[in-house]
Amino acid sequence: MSDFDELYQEIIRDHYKHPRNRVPLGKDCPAFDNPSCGDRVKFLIEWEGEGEGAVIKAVNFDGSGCSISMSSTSMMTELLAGKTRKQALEIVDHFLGIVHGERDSGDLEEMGDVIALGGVIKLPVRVKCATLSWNGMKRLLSAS
Amino acid sequence: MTAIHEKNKVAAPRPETGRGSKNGAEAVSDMNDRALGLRGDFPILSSTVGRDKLPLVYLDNAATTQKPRSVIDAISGYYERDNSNVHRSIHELGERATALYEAARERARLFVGAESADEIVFTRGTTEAINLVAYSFCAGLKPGDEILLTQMEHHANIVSWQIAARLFGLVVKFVGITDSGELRLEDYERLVGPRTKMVAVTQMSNVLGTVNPIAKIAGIAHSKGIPLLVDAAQGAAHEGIDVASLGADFLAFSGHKAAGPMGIGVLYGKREFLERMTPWQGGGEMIRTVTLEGFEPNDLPYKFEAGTPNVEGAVGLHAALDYLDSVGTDWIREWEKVLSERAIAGLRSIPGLEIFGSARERGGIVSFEVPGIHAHDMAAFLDSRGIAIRAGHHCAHPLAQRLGVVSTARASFFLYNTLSEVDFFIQTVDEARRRLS
Repeated sequence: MSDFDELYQEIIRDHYKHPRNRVPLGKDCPAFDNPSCGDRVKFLIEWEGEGEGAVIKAVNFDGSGCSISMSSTSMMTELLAGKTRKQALEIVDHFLGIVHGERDSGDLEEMGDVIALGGVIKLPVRVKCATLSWNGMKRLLSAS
Repeated sequence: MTAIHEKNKVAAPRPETGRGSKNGAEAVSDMNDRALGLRGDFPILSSTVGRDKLPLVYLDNAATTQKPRSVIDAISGYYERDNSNVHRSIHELGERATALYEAARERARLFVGAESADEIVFTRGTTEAINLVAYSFCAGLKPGDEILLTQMEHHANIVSWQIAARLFGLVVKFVGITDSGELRLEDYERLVGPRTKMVAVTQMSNVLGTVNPIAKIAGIAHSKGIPLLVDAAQGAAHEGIDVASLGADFLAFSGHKAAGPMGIGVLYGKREFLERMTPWQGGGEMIRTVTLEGFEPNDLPYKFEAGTPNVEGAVGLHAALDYLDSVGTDWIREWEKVLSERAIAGLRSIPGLEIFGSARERGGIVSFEVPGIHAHDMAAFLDSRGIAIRAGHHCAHPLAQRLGVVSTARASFFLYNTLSEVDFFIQTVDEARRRLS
């Protein structure tokens, strides 16, 4: 497998070409961007239930960017569905911890398709692509 | 040596001779042979990249050029033999370091064609040089005075003036560009007014490759008594920067984009302006006397060089300018034109690919986009084949907005790039299109 194929695994390319939970979103949805490259992502979270027991019914996103940032976003939306705010934050923190080298990269194995981002973690210049939506989601879940 | 960098016929670099008498194809082949020979001067170009140890195809020269052996040796030689602080150490090394630093200033004077070395201020680079002028020149202006820029400037030649505008209450105006990526010269006639105090423009666009008609713009500015600042970051090593023929009152360039080291740059400023301008940074070297009540600034150019300077960088820049002149700026310009015309023709043959900018006068910079493939993904694919290009907005947000793009891929050439590298680049862009879209 070449360096490129390792970085851009089939799962990544599939999520880029066929993003999950991607819908056109309006101006009032919270947006997060990466000023250094212009990548941008917006979210609309649908909740089910009330209070602390409420779970995420769906994370809808819209945005533009490279295949790393967009596929990473698509994977994240799949992972967070059905989770409470607390659980979702734990997942996001778990991922960011791995990417920032605070946790073992082997821990990605518990995260479904996200394991395909393993190659990106080794490339400091691409880490900001992979983390754009996760950092945004962390702010969103922590704020509301 | 790998296939892509193989020499076809001629083994050694040859001086440029007799091309006028040959036909075009032969002349191009001779130039390619010379470029192949010049590659030997750059140690990094024989290195490999990636797990598969691919030959490096370096097409990111507008970001920074590689350095010839002579520059690397000049820097290490300085530290091995001559290192000392300058202008005040009363010992032999101090004298040697001072002599080397001032010799570099004289070399830069010669390179830009300034009348006096007092008009050469060393800076960290183009960005710092422009910031210096934006502060020190604008500090003498009145609220409501105007600075005229263009829509194709690098952020360095926009934000420096926007900061000055905030500090001193100035107004910043912009000349527009045409769809082909040329300046709308008629805008100058419209926008130059009684309150315009400075016109600043890039010699060559770092995105579009457009080479601007600097002398013509200088004529417009000077007819109204307004000074012209030229951002020569992209022009210095590729177009030639004679301040007299350009009509530049200020000119800024970086060593590292001209075969020299990072962290050193040159500001040329006409004496009449530099003398009137207030010092920018305070510290050692820039003062004549200091009391608790105040200070008296030093003479030019030291007035603008506070603190211990980058002597290593100046020594490296000296070697770089020697190198560029030994190759010849005319030859470099002509060769990069051959490379970029070949690249443009090749890229045009790729279905759907769009090239940004089609100016009549252009240098060795080509920005492009393949619909459906993000520029970062294109760059990553090329990188996996050993090709280094740049992807992003190239520090020119207003221009990207004008073009209606977020991110473009950019290939940029230098004297050591070859025809086979250009061909391999085009072939690989096409492969990316087939695999990624």
